[in-house]
Amino acid sequence: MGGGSRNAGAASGEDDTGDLAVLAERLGAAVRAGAAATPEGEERAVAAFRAARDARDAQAPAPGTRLWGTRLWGARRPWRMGLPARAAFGALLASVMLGGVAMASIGALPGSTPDRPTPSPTAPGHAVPPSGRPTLPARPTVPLLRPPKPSPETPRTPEDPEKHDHHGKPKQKPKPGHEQKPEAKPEKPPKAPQHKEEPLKPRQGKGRDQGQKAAKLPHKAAKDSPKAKK
Amino acid sequence: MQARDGELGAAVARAQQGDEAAFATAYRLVQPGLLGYLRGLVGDEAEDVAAEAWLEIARDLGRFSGDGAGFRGWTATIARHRALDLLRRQKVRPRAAAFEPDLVELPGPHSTSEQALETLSTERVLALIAELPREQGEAVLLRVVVGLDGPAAARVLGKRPGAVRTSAHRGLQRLAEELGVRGNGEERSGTKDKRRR
Repeated sequence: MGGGSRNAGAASGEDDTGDLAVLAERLGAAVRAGAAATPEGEERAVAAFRAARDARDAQAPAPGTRLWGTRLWGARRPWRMGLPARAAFGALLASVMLGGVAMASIGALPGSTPDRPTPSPTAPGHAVPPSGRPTLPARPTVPLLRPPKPSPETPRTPEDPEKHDHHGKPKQKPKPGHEQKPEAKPEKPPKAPQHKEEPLKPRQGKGRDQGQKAAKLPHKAAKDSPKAKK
Repeated sequence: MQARDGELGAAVARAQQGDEAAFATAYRLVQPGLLGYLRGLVGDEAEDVAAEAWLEIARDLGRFSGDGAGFRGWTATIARHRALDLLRRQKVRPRAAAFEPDLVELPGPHSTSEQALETLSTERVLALIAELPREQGEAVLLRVVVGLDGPAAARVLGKRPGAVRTSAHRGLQRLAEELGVRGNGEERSGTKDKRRR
């Protein structure tokens, strides 16, 4: 097809009589003759091609780049921590937790005996061994850091809501540190959240430790808020 | 399959690899059919719609997969969507669209069919096509101007191939009658004897 094609004609031969096929070819040629490609049109089309090609090449993100906002480079940047920093956090938490386990196992902490399923004033919901966590039968980290008191923000085991219920404590699934995160998800552009959520998942996985993290690093919770507003 | 479809398919493949000159080649091969088709759909605004279509074609080139004939069908689909968008917007601004009957002088009964065919101009053909029922007109445009085969035209229109084939056939027959060319084989030839009717 194009201005130069005369043979084969319009694709009507398969089911039209010869005369109609000839007519079709002539009609088509007549219309195409008045619709020739112009140099200007070609330049414009090629420019569009170039722009699209260059945009495609430029859009390939560098590894680790998050594309979901400029605030990435502002105050939040320090929190775009790489693995080494997270590992350091993890090591810190682990050491604290282990210390707590050690303390609890020697009975140094009141109300933190992991075997006692009865409610305790510290964190009633956590006295019961959470399932799937054989190494941490309770949440000794909370008693470690705070004096034993009923604390409304201690529930840290969203997977064990029942255990909170019968102690009369309110179920509080949205936690101070995490509250805004589910809200943040719909605000992000569709492509980006996959990148953003990856680093957050490990932290959320340690959600039950957020209470301690919040207590140890209150400024972090404050930083989470502006981040989540995005 | 049109004569230069092999060349077109090769150019498109190279363009998809980033070859600018190949894209220019594809443009030159496709534009007459595409613009002619758009003239049939939107008349005077065909150039603007074609430019929009090429922007989209350039941007989405990576999504295309096929040969030269397939590329003509794919680009016609894009062009058609742009044209329909324009027509929808134009509903608030009534203007003579190509499918409204235009006041065009047609060859009088005294002119022979051969002369009629020889003096076919773009405008006249488009005017004739514009007088067809819309389904026939679109089918004729795609088959005749863009050069798509039945199944390809049906894909562009989103219709069954049989329906499109019928529409194109009927449209061509009506055009033949308008031009004095009989579709049943009795094409009048006036080159030698003008008194022959």
